[in-house]
Amino acid sequence: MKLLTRSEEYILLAVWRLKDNAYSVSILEQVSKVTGYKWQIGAIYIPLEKLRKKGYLRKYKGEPSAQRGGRSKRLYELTDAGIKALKEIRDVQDTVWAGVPKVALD
Amino acid sequence: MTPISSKPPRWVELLLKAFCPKDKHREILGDFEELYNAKIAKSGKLKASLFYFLMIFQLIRSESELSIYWTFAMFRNYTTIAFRNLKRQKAYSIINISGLALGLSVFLVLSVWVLHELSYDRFHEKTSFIYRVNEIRHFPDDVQYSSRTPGPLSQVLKETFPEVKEAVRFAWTGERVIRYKDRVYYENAIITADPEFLNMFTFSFIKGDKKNALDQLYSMVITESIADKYFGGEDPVGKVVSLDNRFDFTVTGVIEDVPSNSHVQFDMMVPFDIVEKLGWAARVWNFSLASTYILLENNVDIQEFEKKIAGIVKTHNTDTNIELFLQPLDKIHLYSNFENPRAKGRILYVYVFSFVGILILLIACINFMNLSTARSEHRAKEISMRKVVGSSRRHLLRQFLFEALFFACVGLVFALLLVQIFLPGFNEITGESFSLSNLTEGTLLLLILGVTLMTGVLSGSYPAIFLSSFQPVDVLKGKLKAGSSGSRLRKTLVWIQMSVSIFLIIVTSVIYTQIDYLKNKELGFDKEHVISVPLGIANTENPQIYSRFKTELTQNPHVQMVSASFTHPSWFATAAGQVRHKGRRLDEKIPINITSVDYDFIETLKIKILKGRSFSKDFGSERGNLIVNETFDKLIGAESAINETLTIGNEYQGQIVGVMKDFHMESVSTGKIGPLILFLNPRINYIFVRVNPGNVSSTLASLEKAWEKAAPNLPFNANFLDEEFDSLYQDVERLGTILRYFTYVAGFIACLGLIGLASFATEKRTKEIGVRRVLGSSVGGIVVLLSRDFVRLVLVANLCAWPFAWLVMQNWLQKFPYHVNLSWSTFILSGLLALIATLGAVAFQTIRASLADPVHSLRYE
Repeated sequence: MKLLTRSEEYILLAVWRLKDNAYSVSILEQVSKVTGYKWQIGAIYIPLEKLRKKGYLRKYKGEPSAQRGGRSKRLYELTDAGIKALKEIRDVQDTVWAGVPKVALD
Repeated sequence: MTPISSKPPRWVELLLKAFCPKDKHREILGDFEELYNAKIAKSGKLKASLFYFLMIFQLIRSESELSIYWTFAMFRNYTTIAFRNLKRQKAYSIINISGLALGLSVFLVLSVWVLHELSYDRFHEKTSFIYRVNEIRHFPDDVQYSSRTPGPLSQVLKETFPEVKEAVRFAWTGERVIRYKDRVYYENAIITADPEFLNMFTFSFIKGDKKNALDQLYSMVITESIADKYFGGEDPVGKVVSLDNRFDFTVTGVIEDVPSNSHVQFDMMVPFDIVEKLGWAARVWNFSLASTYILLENNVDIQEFEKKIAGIVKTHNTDTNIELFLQPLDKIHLYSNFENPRAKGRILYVYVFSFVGILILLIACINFMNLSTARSEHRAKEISMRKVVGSSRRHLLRQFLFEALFFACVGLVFALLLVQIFLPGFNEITGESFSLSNLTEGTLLLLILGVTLMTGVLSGSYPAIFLSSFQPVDVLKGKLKAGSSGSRLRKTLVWIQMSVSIFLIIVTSVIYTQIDYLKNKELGFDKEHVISVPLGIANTENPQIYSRFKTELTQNPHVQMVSASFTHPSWFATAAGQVRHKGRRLDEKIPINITSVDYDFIETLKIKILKGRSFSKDFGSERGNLIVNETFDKLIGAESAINETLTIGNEYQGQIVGVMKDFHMESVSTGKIGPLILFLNPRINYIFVRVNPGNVSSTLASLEKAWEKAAPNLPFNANFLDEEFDSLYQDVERLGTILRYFTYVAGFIACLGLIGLASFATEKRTKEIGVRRVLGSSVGGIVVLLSRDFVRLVLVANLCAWPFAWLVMQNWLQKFPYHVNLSWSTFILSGLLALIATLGAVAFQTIRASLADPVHSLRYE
């Protein structure tokens, strides 16, 4: 199984963090906040759909809101496969980073 | 995030809707709106709007790129498949394409003609404000029209009515001799016209100034081709030509040849005032000689104005019952003919030909529909596969329409080739000069594209709907018996084709019998073996030339008899005048024709004398003696018209000395024989020579020799009287000839379709035929079996076509004062012809199928 890319990883984590309010705009804000620079909305849509097709995310319909011109949100949540993929990438990262103290890079 | 929600610009969203009609972007739009609101809070409305627009724009771009890509890919696939089908089913493709090409080419040729007819006189800048003033005379049971009006009329109209901006007259001079140095020809397209004529109508000048070209009495404007004929490369302006060796005219201008869509076709033009020098009364109210045209102000109520002018002629000439009416310039050609400005005229032909063109195209489209649905089995698997892999019905509809359009376009290419082949023949029949370049004119180009598109859609729509409706499950399981479904519609379509073809056959054959009848109708005189020689009209030298010519001919072994007349016999019916008998006006009830002839005229044309005698030198001076025809005899009502006295005009007294048999004085198609009075007069314009039959060329040569001695400075011009009379039926004959060819085409296309269908039907029944053969059926039996369906169709089609054809032709024949009666044999023969054609078309396929070895047919799978 292929490993998640970095942006996929960010997005999956954002979905996990946002719980039941994970949709494109909130994910965009979350990812931008974590990484510290402004992401384009298009950069969220495409990986989101890709992840959904891979089966890491599930899509469901949210409530319509006035702020969105009466349109509903397209909400996402993690699937078991998604969680598994996150775990995997974390294991890999932990292995890669093992034994490297933070100060060593300064 | 801001709690205040403001709306992004609506139009951007509408833009998206326009490009991507499907509502699949709801959530994304929601995102954009949310981001938009956030942007407003951060960087203001303008930037937010810009951002929103960019987002939507990108969305549209990505969406349309996708759809364009896929559409293109699919069309490439459709083209490939269409090509493969075309190649694999060669026979069907040939039938389909040749049918479409023939249909389209006929349609194109006809539309060139129809559009040309409709364009008549529209090239003048002021067309819509120009009207011709015509005369109408009411008789108890007849109405006479004339496009000629008295000379003073135009002046009166211009001076009395503020509505009239301009009024001009023109008159034909008739055949004249034109000479420039050693070039001498007869010209018959010379008009005399008021100088303002050139301002009212738009004829473009190549040389000279249109403002004052006709100001001088002896000035002349000629067309380009006349300039070439007489002057070759020289500059015609300023050159002097002579007319009838009497008048010298100076050429003041050269115009482009009169466009073929002008109802006045002239070659030369001289000032109107010349008519008086030619001996015609241009200042009197009791002689109608000129066509008068008026240019009206642009807000004139035509009907009101017509009422105002109707009685003008009567106020100036109390002796007549002539009334005036107006006719718009652009209607003159289509809605009138010279004898009768209110007759239907050419518009009838325009309708007939448009109708025929559409019918033929329809037959071709039906072929296409029939063949593609009949062949559906071959496509059923493809269609099902497409459906299974996700093609929607819409895609399939698009595919089959595209295929039909593809065929129509291929057909168009061949049609253009065919048009190129047909046009010379068509030009010969119609007397026009169309070329392929006519097709590139704006309207026609649009029409071609439109019709090709329509043909494609029309012929593709039913197959598309029919083929796309297959259920893939049924087809792939082999349940569908393709070709059986839709066979009822196919039969209906074939039936329509057959009905149309039979209808056309009947129409054509009735027209032909009528033309035949007209041409062979007993005219009352013998038009064969008579040569007519026109002299210059109203030329003072005519009597001398005539007598010299006659003397020259006395010893000629080819010549039986020579005589002459004032008007040509085919124009006798247009020389009406006033006649009184015992104080009673005879011409109030019916127009009476009066004309003058020379001695021997009646004998030369072999007209029978019924009572009394003919003109003869034995009776001394025949001055005041008249010969009338049978119709006039009946009109007088007395026991015998002989010795009755008539007053012709105001003072001429005459006595009837003979009654001759009625003879036709105009086209048999336009009028019944009217009353006629002949008197003797040395003023003559036409010489008639009755010659011995046989050896035409040496006869003509000897006549020409005699002519050279009689009139050394005039060219010899001879016509055959029978041809002159036959040419009166030119219009009907053209209609007949064109219709005949189109009937062939229609029949041919229909037969093509039948061949296709027959081969399909036999193919479907290969096994059945095999089984029947094995069980002992004869070849003949199988042929009958296979042909039965088609024969039944033709029979039903006959029954439907007959009443229609009967109604239409009965109506058409009523137009003719003398006409054939519709006979059942025409109908039955036409039906039989269609039946034989059908059997012939079907025969090849059926005979081949029934002769095939049953072993092969039973083994085929």
